Amino acid sequence: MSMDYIASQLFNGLASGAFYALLALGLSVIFGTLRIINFAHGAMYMLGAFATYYGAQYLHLNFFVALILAPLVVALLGMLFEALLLRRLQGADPVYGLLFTFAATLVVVNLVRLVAGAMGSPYNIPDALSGATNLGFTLYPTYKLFVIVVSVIVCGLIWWFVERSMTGARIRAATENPVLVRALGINTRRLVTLTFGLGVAIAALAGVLAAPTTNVAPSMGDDIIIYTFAIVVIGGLGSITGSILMGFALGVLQTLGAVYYPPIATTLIFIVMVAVIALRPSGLFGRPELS
Amino acid sequence: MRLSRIVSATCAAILLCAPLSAAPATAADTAPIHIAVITDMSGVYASISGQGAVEATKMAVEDFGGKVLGREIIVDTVDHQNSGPTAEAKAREEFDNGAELAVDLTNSATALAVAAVAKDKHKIAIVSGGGTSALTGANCNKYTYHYAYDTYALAHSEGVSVAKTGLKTWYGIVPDYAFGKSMLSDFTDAIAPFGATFVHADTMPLGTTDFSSYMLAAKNAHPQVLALLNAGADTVNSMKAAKEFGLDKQMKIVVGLFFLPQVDTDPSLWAGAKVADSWYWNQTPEARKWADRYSARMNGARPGSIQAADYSSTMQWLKAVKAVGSVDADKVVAYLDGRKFSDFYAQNAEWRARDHSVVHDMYVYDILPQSQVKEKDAWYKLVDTIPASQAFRPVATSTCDKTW
Amino acid sequence: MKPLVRIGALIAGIALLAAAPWIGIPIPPLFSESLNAPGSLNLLALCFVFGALALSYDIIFGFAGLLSFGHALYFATGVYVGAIALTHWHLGLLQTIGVTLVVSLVLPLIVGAVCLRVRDIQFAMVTLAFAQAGSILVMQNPFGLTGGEEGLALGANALPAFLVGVTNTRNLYWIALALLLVVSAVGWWAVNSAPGRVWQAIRENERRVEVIGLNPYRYKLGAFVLSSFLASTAGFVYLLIEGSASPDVTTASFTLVLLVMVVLGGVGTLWGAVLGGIVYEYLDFRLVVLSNATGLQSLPAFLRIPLSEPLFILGVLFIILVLFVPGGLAGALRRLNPAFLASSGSH
Repeated sequence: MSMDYIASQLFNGLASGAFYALLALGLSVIFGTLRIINFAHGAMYMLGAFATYYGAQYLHLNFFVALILAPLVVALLGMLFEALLLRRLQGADPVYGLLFTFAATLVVVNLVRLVAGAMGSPYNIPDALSGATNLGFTLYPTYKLFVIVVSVIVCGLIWWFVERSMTGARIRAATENPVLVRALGINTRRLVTLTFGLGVAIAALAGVLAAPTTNVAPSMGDDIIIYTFAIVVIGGLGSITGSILMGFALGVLQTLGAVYYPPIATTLIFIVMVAVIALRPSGLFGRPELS
Repeated sequence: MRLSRIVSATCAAILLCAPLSAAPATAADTAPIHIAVITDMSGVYASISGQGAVEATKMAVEDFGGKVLGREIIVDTVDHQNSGPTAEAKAREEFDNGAELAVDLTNSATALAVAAVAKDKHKIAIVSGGGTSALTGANCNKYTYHYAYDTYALAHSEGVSVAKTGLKTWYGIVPDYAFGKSMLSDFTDAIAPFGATFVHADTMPLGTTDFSSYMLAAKNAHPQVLALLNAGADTVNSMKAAKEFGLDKQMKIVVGLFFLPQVDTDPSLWAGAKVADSWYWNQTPEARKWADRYSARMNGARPGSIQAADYSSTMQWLKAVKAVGSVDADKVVAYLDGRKFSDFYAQNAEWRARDHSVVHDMYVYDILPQSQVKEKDAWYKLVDTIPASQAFRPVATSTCDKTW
Repeated sequence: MKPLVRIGALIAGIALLAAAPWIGIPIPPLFSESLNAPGSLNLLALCFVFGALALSYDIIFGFAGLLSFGHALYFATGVYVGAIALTHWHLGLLQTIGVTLVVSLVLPLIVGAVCLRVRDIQFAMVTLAFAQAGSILVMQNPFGLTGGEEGLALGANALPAFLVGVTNTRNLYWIALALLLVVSAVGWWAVNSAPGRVWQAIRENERRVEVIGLNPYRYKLGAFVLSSFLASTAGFVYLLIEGSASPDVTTASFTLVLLVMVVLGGVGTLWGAVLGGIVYEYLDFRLVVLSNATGLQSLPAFLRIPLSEPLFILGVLFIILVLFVPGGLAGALRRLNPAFLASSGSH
């Protein structure tokens, strides 16, 4: 196999890793603040893709508009869900919140299936991004490059926002010591809701990016969320850096697996996960949980 | 808390308010006959089968007169939710409560499960949706017929039709489960006589959603034909990936398993692909007449081959029941075995006695781009007809252990 | 209720259930045939299996406070090891039971040892990932053992005659009833024993347990292994009833549904979990019939289809219950009858 071929496959890996990175990032953002594993994350991804489809179908929105609008719409739904329903479980055992998001997934996925059917709705690559780009060593699908670029930018922005900005610092502080932060006059409730919305928006963005190249079906979230959970465990729950880096890395690993030995491709992520847990239980970039 | 009482009372009420569903105690020979359409009503196969299959079956019952042997015929809708155990449980329930025939059974796992129940209960199951060749091979039994297509027939229509035009190098996209493997082996055998081979066939693990790496590998291998031997969402995902890498311009794309209603979900995606099927609504005047009646009941949707097969098989069974004067499965099987027929659905068809495969002519189509489609849903263009004797597995090589 | 009366009622109830195969009374809303018809007995047997499974989960979750998302893996172990032993290795029934028991002890020991190195949510995720890996392994059909997505049907001669055939459904029914009783007894004994009390202490505050000199890890592992072992036995009986192994039992959503069952029934009461398991399985089966009944068929599609999806109803029901009735069905029932005390533990 030539170097060009390998390099192209590496790009394939980055493109698929982009989705893992975005989804893992969203999960970590939500977990970092609400301490809830958002089981509805896959459903949010799916809603992002469907919002894109319906936006095109009924409002004739083009892809680039959808890229901004769909995450906002889905984030709004997410924030309403958090503020009206999830919040009620704040005092209770965290497992209830978790189960609640799971139940929400059951309801949402079935509702979408009802409206859209289970088979899949059509969405294709926008003309502006179709075709291939000459990268020097090979011709590579333009759309995939677009996906890689957008996700790197978004991941970078979110990382900076959470780890380096003032608001990010407030969010992190609110998690560690909500009472003190409230005493400082910061509205922690609003912060929490907005952060949840942010996490959901990132998932929906991944959905928008997925729509042109993946079957837009109600079950699309179920498949990818399993790998996302594994990646979050590997990277370390709540670690933004871990989610981003491991997302891309494991996307590449999985693709290389598909190139050299397909049968192992889907189990590679789990093998890595078991190894990481055995050696470093809190994940590669995670901090050991404070009990 | 009053509210908690209300909620718990509601839960109890849901439990107890199940309507009385005990079968009324009528004499056996005047009780209605039930036909169970066991299909996927809301999942991935709902559009190629689902409600359409139920309507098609109802059409057959109505055209037959609504009664047979003086007994009313009732069509039951049964959703197997793509689960073998669920299909099995529901089939048992149906057969125990007046069903004499189970039809459709889209999804091979459910088809196999219900075939076993049919054998157990001595009732007839006619599979038109599921494609596994095992139904007429290792899992054959006296009370099950395989009506519409199987993986062997697909391979020997599509595969042969394309290979005989001289396209010798094939690249396979194969899912790593029973269906995929049997598709690959059937296709390999089908194209071999023409000197064609699979230069490579990636079996991808279940759960693969990203086909990019496989498409890139395919592009590098420069085959003449790309064969997508998968099903459902995998077919869509791999087709999208194939187009992304420009493979549709570089080689012929053969889609192993495909049904007309699927084109509607994304016409531009499928244009130019080659598929095999047992029937197309616009192929003959008789087919078209039936399709128009179907569309009138289904809000303009055009029928696919599975739905047409359900009508045809139900009608055949009803005629058989009338002819033998009984719903007794053994008598009906004896009547059907070896019978030849032709109707709007199947040409040169025969209810093969040896393995219970209902053979008929198969067809190969090109999927037209939107610009060449003259009316709604007229996606197919017939390019080849494969006679029944060549399309289906010859009786001589059958692996059915006929013990009845 | 006085303890003696309660015990009496319990024994009477068990006797009634045991006598079911001779009670030929139709109970129309609950069953479509009489109580002793094979169909009804089959349904009840499955309900008992799920009740036992839910109870096994309550031990680890309700009492030890360990949120495991991988419980389906052990149920599936019972199903698949049994199926493989009977079908591929042609072992006799007793030998199969032996093999299954051994695997059911060793597997959770190994997996638990790894998973329990982390806590809380991480533990949950790790158990989930293991279950997922197991699910994928089953689907890959290594060495042709598991049958992949088509599952593995028990061959015609795999089981002894008394377990096969419609007329012997009553035997399977009794086996399932026995399973439920044994698992309940073991569970009840375990949570009321000394280790059981340590589990509850760990659930409340693990650090405190460490401080008093006990090693929580060992106790957690014990709960994990016991609970998984019981789940495997339930899986084995499930295999006997169904006659085949299907990959449906390995999915992550199966464990989550199990968790919902237990939460619905009432966490930490044992009998609440059993109730949740029984009710869920019953509804899962009967909703089908309900949706076919003419009443529902005439509803417009947008109401009919979701109402015939058990998972959708489960989701909605769960949301309602969690918001308004945190103690689950057990909590609700307890509130309806204040004199009815929980038998063991409270949450």
